[in-house]
Amino acid sequence: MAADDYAVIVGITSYPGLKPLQGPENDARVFSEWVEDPAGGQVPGTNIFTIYSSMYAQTTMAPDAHPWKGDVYAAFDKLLDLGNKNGGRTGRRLYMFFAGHGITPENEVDEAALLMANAARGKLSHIPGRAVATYLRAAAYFDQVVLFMDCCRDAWGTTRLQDPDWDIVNRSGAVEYFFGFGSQWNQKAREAQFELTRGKPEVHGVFTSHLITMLRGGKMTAATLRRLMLNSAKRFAVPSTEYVPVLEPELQDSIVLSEGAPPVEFPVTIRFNGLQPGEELEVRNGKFAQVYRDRPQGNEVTIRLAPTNYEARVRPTAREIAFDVPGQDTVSL
Amino acid sequence: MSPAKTPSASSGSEAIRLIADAGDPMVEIFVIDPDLRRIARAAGRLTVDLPPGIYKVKFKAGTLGGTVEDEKMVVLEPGRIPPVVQPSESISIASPVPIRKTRTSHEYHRIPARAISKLTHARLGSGSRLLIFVRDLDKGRTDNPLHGLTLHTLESDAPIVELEKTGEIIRDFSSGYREGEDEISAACSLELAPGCYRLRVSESPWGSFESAVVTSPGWQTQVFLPRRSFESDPGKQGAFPDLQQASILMARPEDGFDFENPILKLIEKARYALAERRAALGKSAVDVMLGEKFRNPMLGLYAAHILLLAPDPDEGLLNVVITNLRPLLGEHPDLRALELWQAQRAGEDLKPFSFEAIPMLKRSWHIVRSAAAVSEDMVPESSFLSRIPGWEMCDTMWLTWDADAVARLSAEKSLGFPTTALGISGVHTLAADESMRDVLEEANLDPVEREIMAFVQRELHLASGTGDRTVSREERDVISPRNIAVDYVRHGWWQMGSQGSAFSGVRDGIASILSRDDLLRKMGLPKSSVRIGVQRLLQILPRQQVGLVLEDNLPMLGANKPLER
Repeated sequence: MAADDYAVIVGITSYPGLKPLQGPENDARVFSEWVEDPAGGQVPGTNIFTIYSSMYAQTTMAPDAHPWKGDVYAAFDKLLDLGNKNGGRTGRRLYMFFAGHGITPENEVDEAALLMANAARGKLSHIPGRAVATYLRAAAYFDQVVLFMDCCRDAWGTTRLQDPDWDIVNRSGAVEYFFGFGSQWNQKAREAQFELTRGKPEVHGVFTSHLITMLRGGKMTAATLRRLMLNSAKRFAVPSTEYVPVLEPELQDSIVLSEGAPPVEFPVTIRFNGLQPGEELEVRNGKFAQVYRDRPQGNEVTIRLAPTNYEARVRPTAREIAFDVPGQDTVSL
Repeated sequence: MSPAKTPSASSGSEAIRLIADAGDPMVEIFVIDPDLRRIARAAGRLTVDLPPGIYKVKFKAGTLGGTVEDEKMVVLEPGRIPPVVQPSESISIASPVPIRKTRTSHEYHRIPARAISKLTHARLGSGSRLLIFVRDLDKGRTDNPLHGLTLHTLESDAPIVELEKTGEIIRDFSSGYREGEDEISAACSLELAPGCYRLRVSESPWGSFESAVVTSPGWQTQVFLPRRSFESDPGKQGAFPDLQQASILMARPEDGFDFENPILKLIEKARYALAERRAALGKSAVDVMLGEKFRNPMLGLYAAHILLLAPDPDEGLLNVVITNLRPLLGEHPDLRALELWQAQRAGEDLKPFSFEAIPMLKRSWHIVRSAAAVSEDMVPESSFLSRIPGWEMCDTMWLTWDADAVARLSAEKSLGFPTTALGISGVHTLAADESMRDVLEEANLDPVEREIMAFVQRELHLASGTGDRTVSREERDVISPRNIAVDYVRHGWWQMGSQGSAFSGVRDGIASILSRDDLLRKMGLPKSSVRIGVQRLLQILPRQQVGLVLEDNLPMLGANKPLER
């Protein structure tokens, strides 16, 4: 159990002043489940702060809609207070997960700002995720800061970045970090129906769906997560749209995710048109090590494979197909 | 073709050759190894020797609003002859230019665009031509895509042409256009004197923006703009011509816009490569571009800047490009910027370089901007160009700026730079009920002014012995006279001067920037722009009455106590 890890998780679906969304609260919920899961983030439930639209009274008036910035910052304030009472250290790792509408404020090409429920044209109240994470890194309340944001990053030239109003605290000490954004600068993040829970399709952000699928794969470093996500992004993109997540830094091996899980593997279903007498199905990894050899019944078999490139083939005939994991969850011979 | 760098792991005798061919020099190719690491990269065609294994080959090309990709798996195993890996189909790009065989091109755009490019909707002068073509990428709108577009000279804010009134909506029913169902387009074709103009887009959700459009003698400059949708009111979609995604071409007026010219796709891919800062384009791609630049000089400008992306640019090749472009373009700010780069590298006198005209490409502007940091005549203070710094849109390929902000700056009369007696004025008029915070936060600094203040703050840190503390980007965003004042007190800078001129440290710091070439170089802004910012700051500071506020607090500060609020 990561007893001194914490999480602040925000999912905003209801925006009276903007177009409503369907997925962010689902996103926040699945991330919250992962973060508490013994095979996931292992964060104690009492250390998880969740802020969802549905926790507040619904209204059609934008100015009255919650959560506001203060609702979210209240969670951070508690963590800062805890740290201040504890010699400046709150815990080992902080997860921040934000899903909802988002923008890039004026001249802040690296920023992703989550719009609050009371945002409306001309007054885009927001929480700048990177700025908050950067502040927390500088203040060193945690040894590690992990930020994920599933929101658009439309360049919004008329909105200035709204910094948190915390006092500047600069402590020495290298705080490790890993940031993931569901869209590039001036690009859209999208939501669609995904089946993250078997038999229960629901709307999720593309990035969250991708992230959770990868995180459920098993124990991995942040650097591995980055590699896996960049190599499998195409599989999650909504057709005819672009999806290129931003994950940084490139080499972050100090942050280990899903620490309680076994080494990372993904299920892959291999379909074949029945095996003839004497035929076998063989799967070799990218370095030609045999990882599966059998004579399965029926027309398909599902096996768990570690991330790499593979070739499945029916021996001794020449039916074969190369594929990558994660990338394709179903291949047909 | 430039072979990709061979990974060291492949040095054994077992290495197998992988060949990937995109059939297009502007398509990038990557190879991903079994450890999911990118191990080779090239443009157009890739040849690499690799250890046996299963690899993924990715093809990637720039397109309107992003990139298109394709992936192929390949098995390299002794005894098996690997195929030449190719993308499934020619990677199809989308473009604001209605080029044949691009994803968003329609006959009902292409044919009228060609016809209109040879018409003249208005004659404003002679010697060059300008075509502005705007089209929707979404179906069904019927409003005029030229709405909100105006053309201006550098000197006057009054438009010389309102394109919506002068141009025409394109309704080519003979080519199958269905009004209200298909993507609407409109165009305006002008004859005008060669020179630099400002193309303004008003009524975007973010206000008004401008880009420079340069026309050259004997050429038609062709500007193609896609429209970008936005939610104007809840549930209601608006659209505006998107300068950020503009494609600019050049053609001989007698040729006009020739949508069948294969060079157009090459230009678009070069533009995307430049926009994405991809220096990976191989020599073959650059060679093709340079060979075609005589038919469209924009290719020459793109090729030159792509060459400049390299860590060690091929100066010989650049010299050839620049020399060839000169007779084609004549006086052109983008070409002049390249010549400035050349002169800087050669250590030549930069005095002959003076920029009144605005470069179209942001990369050209960056060359000018940094060179002008210590050469005030290069961007004269009276020029429109000196007002642009700080108001450029970020991360765009074209130099695009906030027209409203620059217009406000331009409208202000010259303030006159005080050279003596930088003392505090008006310090005795502060109303008793105004708090320091309220007074000082009134100052809404421009980006250049914030930059100047950041440097002053750093200098004061140095002067007070609190160390060489670089001001971070995050800190720069919250710099204000108030924050400077707080630092001023915290660090005891007031002790550096007499109490009667408590804030002269900051004022002196601001004024002295203009004589500090080292700081001006670090700021990388034209000196004329810094001068304008300095003048404005020196006006703001006494108005904010910082001096009095500090004077009021000095007794309390005598014990070196930080200012409490």
